[in-house]
Amino acid sequence: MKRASRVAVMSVVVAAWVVCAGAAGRAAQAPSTPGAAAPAGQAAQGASDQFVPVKALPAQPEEWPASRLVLGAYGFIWAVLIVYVWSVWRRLGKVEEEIRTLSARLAEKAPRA
Amino acid sequence: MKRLYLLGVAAAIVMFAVAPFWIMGAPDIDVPNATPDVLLSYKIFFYHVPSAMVMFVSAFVCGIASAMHLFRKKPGADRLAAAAGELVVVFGLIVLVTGPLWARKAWGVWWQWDARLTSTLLMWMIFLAYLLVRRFGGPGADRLSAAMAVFGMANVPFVYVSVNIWRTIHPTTQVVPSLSPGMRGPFWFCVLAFVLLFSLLLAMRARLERLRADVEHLYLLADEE
Amino acid sequence: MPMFLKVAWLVMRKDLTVEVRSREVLYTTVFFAVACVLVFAFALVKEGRPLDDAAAGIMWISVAFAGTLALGRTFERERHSETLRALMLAPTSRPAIYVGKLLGIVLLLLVVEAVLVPLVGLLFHAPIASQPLTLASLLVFGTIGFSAVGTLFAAMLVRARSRDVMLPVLLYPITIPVIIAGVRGTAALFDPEPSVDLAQMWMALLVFFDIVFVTLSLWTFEPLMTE
Repeated sequence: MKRASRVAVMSVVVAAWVVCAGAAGRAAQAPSTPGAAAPAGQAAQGASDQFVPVKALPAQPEEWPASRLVLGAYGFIWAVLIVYVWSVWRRLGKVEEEIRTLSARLAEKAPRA
Repeated sequence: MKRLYLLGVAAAIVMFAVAPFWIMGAPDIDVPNATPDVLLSYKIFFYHVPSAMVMFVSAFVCGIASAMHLFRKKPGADRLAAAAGELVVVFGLIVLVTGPLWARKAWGVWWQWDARLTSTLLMWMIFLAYLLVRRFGGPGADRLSAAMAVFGMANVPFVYVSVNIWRTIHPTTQVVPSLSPGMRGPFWFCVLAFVLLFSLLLAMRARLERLRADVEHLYLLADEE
Repeated sequence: MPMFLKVAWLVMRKDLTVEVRSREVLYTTVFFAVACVLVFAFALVKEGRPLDDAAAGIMWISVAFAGTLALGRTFERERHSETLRALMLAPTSRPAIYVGKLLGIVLLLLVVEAVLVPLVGLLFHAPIASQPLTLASLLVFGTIGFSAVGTLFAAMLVRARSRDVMLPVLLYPITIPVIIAGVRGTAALFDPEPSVDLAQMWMALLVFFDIVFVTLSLWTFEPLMTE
């Protein structure tokens, strides 16, 4: 039984990695390579592997105005930090509660000993 | 000590409240034919780069503390490593999200599999795995994760230098030393704010670990009775 | 130094002897690697035929997956017979034991690759014979890099809980740069216009990774395996 469940877990993990790695492998096969010896001729491969001069960018869709992205970035940072601080605060509270309970229990027992 | 901590928190709040105004007042970068959209999106730089710097520092703290735990068995080292490991993931998340939000305007794409972005993502995943091992590794997980952190720390110079070695779409490390005077002020102010924030978070998280160790100790005492 | 090499040689010979007698890990690993290549060949198709460009990526991914399996299996065998503890109790230098195990795993994976490379050449029309020495060097250095980290973590995980799931979780984020370098170097060789220079650049990076990973692993093996 133990071996069967282990095999099942391994199969799930391997299957998940096959899917992810296949996608990554396909992305890695795309022409956008970080090759250092890339000659200038590779500029023809597309916008993806050279520094793109701003005027050559494709037309920006208006659904992503820069102000929304900038505010989104700053807002995200604040959100992440607040969530993290809250999470640590909550865990601290739980541990301090545990310490109080345990100390009280020990203090109770000590006079009896 | 607690008073110093509260002072630090107050200072951090003030710095983060003031920073956006200074950032908005900073001069625009010098890119030819840049639209107002692209120039506005460059303001993300002032939070993106300090977050990345703090992520590297945190990775070093985690790696060095892990090495001390592995080789010298220093008692507080493992706790510090646990705290720093979490902060690598937090600040790494900030870097990996603010970057694409900026890139959407500056490069026209959300993501590129270039050397800098890929290696940063991998480093983030190494420390994510660090947290997973700490949580689910069972007995001996502290040493397992310490080994992960040592490898993760070895990654940091590679991530930093990757952008200089390979021709990538990501700006090189020459950008920061060659900032225009008007941008230097807000930038280093933000760096200071983030470093202060990092120190405060590290202290708080390390305290949580220390209290957890105290709880373990108390449980042992309670069992002995 | 000679004692170090002797111990490493003995450990490797022990592993190979056990393996040659049962061939369990060898057969299962080769079969799994071949199955992986076939799955990818059928999954990544263009106009009904396997994607030729995907040959390098598929080969290295299969090696990585098969390697993880082989590592898990090999150390499971050690755990089962408690031989790892016996090894650790032996009055020899721990890094020498690590090197011995590493060499065993590398040899096993090289045998698997010897089967995979012709298969990949067949399925994806990859020019495996055009630059055999460069291709072989890429495979050897990449395998060493992957196995260096893999042996360290597999040995550490022998006593851990949920070790089967933990090994991929720990191993892949660290070894993906090795896989990337291997894939890029191999792809440079399999290209319609192969570039040996580019392949050699990636090989140099692989050697760099090998040095860093083997050094870090040698350094951390001892404190990690101590109770």
